[in-house]
Amino acid sequence: MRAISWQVEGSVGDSWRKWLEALFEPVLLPHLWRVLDLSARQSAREIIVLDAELDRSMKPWPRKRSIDAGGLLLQQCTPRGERLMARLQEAIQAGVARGHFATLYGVRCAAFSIPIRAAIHGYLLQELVIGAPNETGQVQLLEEAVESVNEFLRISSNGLNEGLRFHG
Amino acid sequence: MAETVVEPKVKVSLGTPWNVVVHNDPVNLMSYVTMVFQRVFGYSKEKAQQHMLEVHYKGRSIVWTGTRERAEFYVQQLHGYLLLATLEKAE
Repeated sequence: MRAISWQVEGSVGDSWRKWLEALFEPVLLPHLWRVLDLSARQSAREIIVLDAELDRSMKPWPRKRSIDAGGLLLQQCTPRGERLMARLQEAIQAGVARGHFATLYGVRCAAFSIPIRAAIHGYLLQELVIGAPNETGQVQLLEEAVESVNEFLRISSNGLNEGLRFHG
Repeated sequence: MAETVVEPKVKVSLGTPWNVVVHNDPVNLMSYVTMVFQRVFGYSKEKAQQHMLEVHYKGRSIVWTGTRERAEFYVQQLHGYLLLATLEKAE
């Protein structure tokens, strides 16, 4: 079964760990961090650049799934007067941004004042539950991911660049 | 002559049922919410989707009704999946 940016191939645990190492830790986690940070400052232009960078970092099938899932987020309600989301939507319609799920998810979390740790854990939960809905060991798999999130946030609290260097 | 024994009437009052209400949230995918309902309540995909769509279009859905303790347990589980869930007394 395919989630937003990973899929189970053989063992669920092995697939999950492979995704964590290959995509989540080096690409998606720093991306979410930066989008949440930039959203708080209403920096639409930088977020659009990040979205394009993410697009280049992804392989074809997770790229398509990620854009499709981002499109679903665009259909959900947005607070009235939320300018950042509106600017992103314009950029997507103009073809300037692709509208990846991780980008739009980060922007929406910031718009609704969802704290960074909860936002990242929410992202992981969505990937895990959609990708492996019947897996009994979801808690253990989530814990494995949370370890790297905690480590990233601990280092990032000293400055974004240091956190990015750790995973980059 | 045997005495007539009148048994006192015992009124059994069951506790008021409680509703588990899930509210619309801005960041979770609809497929995710459906799967959480299936996982937490053991609902079929169709029933879980019905509740998810009710949440999406009406802003809230009563996903379960029953004893308070059980309802609290479900709310706690839903919070674990980062869904917005509350308890309310059923009318």
